[in-house]
Amino acid sequence: MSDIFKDPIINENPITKQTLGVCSALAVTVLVEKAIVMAIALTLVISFSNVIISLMRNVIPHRIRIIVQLTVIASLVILVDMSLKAFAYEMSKELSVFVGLIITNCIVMGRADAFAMQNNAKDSFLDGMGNGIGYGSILVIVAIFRELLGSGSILGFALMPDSYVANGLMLLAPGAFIILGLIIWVQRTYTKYVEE
Amino acid sequence: MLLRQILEEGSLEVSIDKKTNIVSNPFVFIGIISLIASLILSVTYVFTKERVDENKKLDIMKNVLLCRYLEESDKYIDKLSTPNVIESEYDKAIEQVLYYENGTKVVKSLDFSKLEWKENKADGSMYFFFKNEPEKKYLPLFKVKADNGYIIPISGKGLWSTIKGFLYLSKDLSKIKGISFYSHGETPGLGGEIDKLAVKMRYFDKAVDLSDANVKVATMVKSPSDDSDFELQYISGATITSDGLNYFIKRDLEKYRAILLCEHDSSNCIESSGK
Repeated sequence: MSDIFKDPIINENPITKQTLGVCSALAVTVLVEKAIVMAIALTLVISFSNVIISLMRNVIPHRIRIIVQLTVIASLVILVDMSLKAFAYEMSKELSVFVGLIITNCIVMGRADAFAMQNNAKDSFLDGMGNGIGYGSILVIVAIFRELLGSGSILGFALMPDSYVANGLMLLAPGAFIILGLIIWVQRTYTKYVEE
Repeated sequence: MLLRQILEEGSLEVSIDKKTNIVSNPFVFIGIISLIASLILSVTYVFTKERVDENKKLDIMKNVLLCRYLEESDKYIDKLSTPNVIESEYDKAIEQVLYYENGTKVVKSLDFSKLEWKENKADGSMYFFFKNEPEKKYLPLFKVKADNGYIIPISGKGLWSTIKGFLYLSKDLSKIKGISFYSHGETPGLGGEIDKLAVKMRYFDKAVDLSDANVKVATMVKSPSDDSDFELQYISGATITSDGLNYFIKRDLEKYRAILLCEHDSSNCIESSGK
């Protein structure tokens, strides 16, 4: 049971192992704070969509299961978006379209169809949490490097000496690609995973 | 009972034979799901709407203030941490005035906070109206109490996105005293630099000339000459964003020209014809 939760965080990490959700991993990792909020948002969406889909799995007509999954996920994403607008307006402005784009994040749809359709609600919830945290932890790690090297700070606190010249490349998508590539390398060396 | 079933089996089972069950009809099923989803979403929308509107209003107030206090805005922003502080600072510093789109002053009292801010998607310009009569367009003007300067909303297309902000003019309408942006989606590190104090300060004390209908205003150029008040440095790597700024600052000043001249000297005001 705990493997369901643990696996997607390290061994089966959705970003580093399955290379899913890379788009948002590149887009919202300029600042650590943004990455954390995005990670929480995605974890909430994926956990609850998994639970809802899992509860309905025996009544969903097979032919329209993707449409049903999309409806559930889209509704949850809009809920998250509306709550951010109401309670964290500045953050919702900064994340802009990327919260809405959680709908298209392959991790969410992937887990709903591959896991929640076959497993009970409790396991589906754990699977959702695991995948959300697995995704989120990579996001935060990438963001730590990008913010530290690109802006000389973490969570807004300046950490680099005044003489440090911020590396503008880190603020752009290529910087994220490089860091993400390095993380995938480290992770695959650690888990000794080889692509067939 | 149902809860126990969920806990034990982790699933809802429908006991009726699925083939005859109406719920197994795809159309009925997706209909029910959509209905439930839309119901939940509309209820949430209604409950959060007031807060969201309040947030938008505060955001505008905050950015008018940041435009007003451009030079010290990096420190000033920390002060504006709670809604109450923003509101009281705003009331202290800013006076709001409404004009009709044709440049005549609005005499009847209207609730400024109810004004809707909408973007014209074609060119990124803003238009302002009240929900109860959407065909009637207005232009809001923010007067700075301390030095009788004027703040106008500016907006237009950059490279990827619509850039929205404010521009602060001195009392004699000849100098730019501040600029702020509250919404944009330009590339961080390139066009996104417009949000940096150093870039915004390039506009500080640059010249404006409203004497002609074809307004002259300081623009971003590749290599500005040191002694020209009408030139400032381009944002490097962001030519299209800079061009966008040049274009829409001029356009919005032309839109506000009649109003600004009227505020400056009442003999310039357009007569309100029976409004």
